[in-house]
Amino acid sequence: MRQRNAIILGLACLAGIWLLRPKESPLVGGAGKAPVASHSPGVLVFDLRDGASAEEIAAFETKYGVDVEYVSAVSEDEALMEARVADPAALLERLRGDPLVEAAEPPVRMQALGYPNDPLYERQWSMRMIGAPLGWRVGGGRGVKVAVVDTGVTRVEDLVGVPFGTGRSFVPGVSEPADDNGHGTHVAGTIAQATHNAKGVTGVAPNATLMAYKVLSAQGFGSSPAIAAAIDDAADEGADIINLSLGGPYSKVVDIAVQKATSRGVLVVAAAGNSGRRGVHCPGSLKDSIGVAAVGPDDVNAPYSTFGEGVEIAAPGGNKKIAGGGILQDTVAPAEPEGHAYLEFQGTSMATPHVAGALAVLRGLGLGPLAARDALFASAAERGAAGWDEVYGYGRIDVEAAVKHTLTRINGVRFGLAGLLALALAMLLGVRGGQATAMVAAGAVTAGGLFFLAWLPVPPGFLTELALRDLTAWPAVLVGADWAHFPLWTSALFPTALAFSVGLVQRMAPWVAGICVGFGVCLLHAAPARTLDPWWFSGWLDAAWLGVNGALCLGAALAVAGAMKMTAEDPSWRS
Amino acid sequence: MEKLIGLLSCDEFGGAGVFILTLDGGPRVQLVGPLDEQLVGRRVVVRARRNPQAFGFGMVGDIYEVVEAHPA
Repeated sequence: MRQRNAIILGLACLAGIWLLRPKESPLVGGAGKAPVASHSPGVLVFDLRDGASAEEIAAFETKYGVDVEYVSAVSEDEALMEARVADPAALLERLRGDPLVEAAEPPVRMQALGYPNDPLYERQWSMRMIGAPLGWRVGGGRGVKVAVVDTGVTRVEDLVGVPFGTGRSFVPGVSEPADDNGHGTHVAGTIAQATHNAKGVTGVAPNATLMAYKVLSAQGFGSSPAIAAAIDDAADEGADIINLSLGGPYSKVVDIAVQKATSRGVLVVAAAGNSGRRGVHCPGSLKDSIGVAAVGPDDVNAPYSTFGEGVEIAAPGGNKKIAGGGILQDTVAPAEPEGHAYLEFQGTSMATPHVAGALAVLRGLGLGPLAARDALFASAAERGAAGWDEVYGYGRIDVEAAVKHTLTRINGVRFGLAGLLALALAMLLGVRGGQATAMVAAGAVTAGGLFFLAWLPVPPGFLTELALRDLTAWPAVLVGADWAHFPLWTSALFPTALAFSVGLVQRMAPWVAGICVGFGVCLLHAAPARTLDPWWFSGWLDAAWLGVNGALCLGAALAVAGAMKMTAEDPSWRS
Repeated sequence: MEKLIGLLSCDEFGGAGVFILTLDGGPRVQLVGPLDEQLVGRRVVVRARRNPQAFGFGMVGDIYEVVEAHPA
């Protein structure tokens, strides 16, 4: 009976997952669109007879007193036009029976179904190229702080709702880190643009927290002391990642600031340069920064991308010589009526935030900074020579591959190890049946989470984010990325407290023993894998802390399972 | 103050037009300051001052502040 119930429950779960699967955006997949809102007053769309001549169109304009324009540059063949008119209803009435007019109607606002529903996502080839959608499903960098050291950041239309942390201006005479150029806001958008908000475009890590630092003037120039000061301040304020889409000559003060930041666990990502020649600019050239080269929509290095020592990774930076080949984001545009516009830019400046966003996604999974960097490098799509080369570094970033790499190599291994260890412990102590099953299940899931959900069509959401992670990474979702590395959390404190509080309750004991095994396996695995980076320690002390505490967790599991077995044999032993 | 001679071009990086001078010797530098767009595509003579501390998002080479530019 129990087995039958378990099978029914499992089938129900699979059916639920199938029903809740994210639908491919029709803008990508080519499915239909749903009209969801009414029309714009005053505007009409005219589908004139195909091949209508310029004279016929001019006569049409004169006859009806309208000034029509093609809907787009490619709608000439179809004679699809639009015009602003004073009285749409009256004109529609007059158009009836006109042989030149195949159809006329007010424009109907369309909204993409599925995920994401951002209407301009279709034009964001870079997000599809790097596999950003899986990054959104696993948390999108929730709780990770990314400092944008640039021309400042302004909260334009599509950045509304994105969390902002501390920010500061280091430009003389400018007190606020607002963007008076457009570059910084564009960069910030690629990192964390609001995603699935039925507006504009998407970002790589939409749940990351942005920190705006203004170091470049409205003209786009700044000095090394200002940049160094901003890097120092961002590290002081708890940035996990610093994005530097800027460059210049070698600067000792910038070098020292980058060294200090990285020694505190901050990942510093910097543009390689736009010279199209050998010789990476500072800070991209620095030993401690991650230098980023650019590829275009053809996935080939962009002609302007600087190469040489210092390039460590490549990412989409755009190539505007190819139609639609720029990187599209919402940014400030003072000349526009609304003060912002969706614009295509190109440059290694645009490639850099793709890398910062990808690292935010990986840090959000609970990885330490070095583990996140290594996962990104190891999973990059080979584009040049095998291994490292001076044009692409370790290859072009691939968020989907990096997430799967992380979940397989880390969570998958832990899942298996903890399951086997819990099974061995159960067999050693003679725990059998349902209790042994509970120990194994609790151990495996605690250590690896339901990591395999990344391969299933599960919709993004808070519960999905939690379910995908091992228990040690839960604080990254619940509190903030750094809290997964809080030393008292990366210790035996929680499992032993659980063991002493509920471990002696007979019905809870197998679950508690499993959790202790799972937690212990996480800590023991993290010591050599460097996936956890406890605060306060560094180097071998990290590994020692994790190793000792992991062993204590296994000791707690042994004690709980032993007590459970003894209670089963002689319920009076505890008294 | 330096005298630079080379081919002037303009490209878009990071949303801004960047003036690039490809020097006759091969290196490329970025020019900022008063430049006539009609000089783009021509060999020019530029009197400019290198700013050794300047950072920016153009990133095409050393940044020179132009004092004067005219066709070669």
